[in-house]
Amino acid sequence: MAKREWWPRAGGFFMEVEGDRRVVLCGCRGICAYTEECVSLRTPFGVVSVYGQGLEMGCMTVEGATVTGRVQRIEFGEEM
Amino acid sequence: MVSRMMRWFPGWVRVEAEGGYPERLLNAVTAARIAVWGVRRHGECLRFSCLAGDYRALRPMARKACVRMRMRHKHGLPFWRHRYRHRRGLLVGLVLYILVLAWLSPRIWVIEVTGNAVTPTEAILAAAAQRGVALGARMDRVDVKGLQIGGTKDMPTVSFITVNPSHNVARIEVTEREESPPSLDLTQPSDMVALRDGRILRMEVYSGHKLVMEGEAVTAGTRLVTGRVETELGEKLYRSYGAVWAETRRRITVSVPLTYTYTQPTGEVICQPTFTFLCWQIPLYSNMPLQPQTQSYQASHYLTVGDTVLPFGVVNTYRLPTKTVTATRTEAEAQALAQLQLAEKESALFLPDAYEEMARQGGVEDGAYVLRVDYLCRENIAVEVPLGGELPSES
Repeated sequence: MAKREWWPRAGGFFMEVEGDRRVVLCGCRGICAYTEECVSLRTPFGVVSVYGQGLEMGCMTVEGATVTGRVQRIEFGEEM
Repeated sequence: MVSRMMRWFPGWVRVEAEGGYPERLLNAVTAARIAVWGVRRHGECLRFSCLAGDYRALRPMARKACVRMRMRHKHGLPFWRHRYRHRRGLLVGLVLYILVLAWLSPRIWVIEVTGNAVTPTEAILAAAAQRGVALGARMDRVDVKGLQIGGTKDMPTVSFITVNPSHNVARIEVTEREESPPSLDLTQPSDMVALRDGRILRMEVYSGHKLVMEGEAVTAGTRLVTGRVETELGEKLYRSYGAVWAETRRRITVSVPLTYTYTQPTGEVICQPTFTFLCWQIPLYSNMPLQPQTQSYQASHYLTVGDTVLPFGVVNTYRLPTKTVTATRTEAEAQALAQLQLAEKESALFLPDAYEEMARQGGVEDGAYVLRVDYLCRENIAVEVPLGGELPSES
């Protein structure tokens, strides 16, 4: 049985969700949109949008970003 | 907390970006590997925080993203230092505070002595000072073992002494020796002679040989008991020991001058304050000459914490210049004073209920009220002298 290698397929992108209060995204390549209700981040395989209320980016570096606030929905989509 | 401290030292700013494309600004910032945090959107404005040193690098990026950027808040050491750059006294005070704290913390501020009833506290403090227990001395240089061993040699009344360091307080604990009852030395032979004239009432002789009988009249110097005892085996020498109670006649004379002098304060008070700090004393007065006749007393005002007296304070020495005043008293006043002095002498010389007043004579003689009282006393007239010796003349 072949070993599952999920990390290379993810293109270095990794996401961690802590309840509905905090989302940590590693390996994102930039910001598409940023409002209090929606934070869209560009990733190797598309755009990840975090929807919610009072969203704030706690920390933002070249390696990733941390979105805090009341998270309601996370969407994966194609880059426009 | 640690990250806050790490940001505080280089300083950080809160930035507000308005208009244009703030997302482009954030992308450019992350691409330039500039760390930002606390990114939050407020309507059209985007607010974020970055290190103060990175703010200058953000300006060209903001221009490219058509964003107008301004600084809202400044935090951290560089801004704090800039704000107080004209108040160097604060920095000097802070440095002085740290130095004084570091210098005073390991030193003895308070010395407490407990457990002494007979031994004077001053003697204990003097013995302890020789082993490093003194105000202002370093606590870690106290020779505890030396005090335990040498302290008992210096003070015969002390059986154990130690010092317990507790922060800045050195607690000296003392245990005193319990005096053993005195033992009678029977090795030195002696006699007992009469101290004064009298008629013997009762003899309590525990050692030695009686030379007089009860009811017999004796004069001062008469040998009452001898330690030289003749036995069948020859002469033996003992120490004479006992009491010979006799009826004696005594006279007390009290003289109170009608004209007398005494010293009285002039009313002037000279205060000489001295600032005391640990073992140092700084006089806060000029060294002006004082008149020779001066009374003085001290009043100490030390800082306290609860029941502990701190070694910081002011000791005021009050000097009261005095003058000699000549005064006279009436005969009645002199008589009353003579009566008081007579009562003091009676209690000092006689046993209670062992004397009776026989005659009293009082009057003014040569400018003084003289009171003479004769007594009939019952007292122990036997006094020990060396074997064959005489009554000492000063007795």
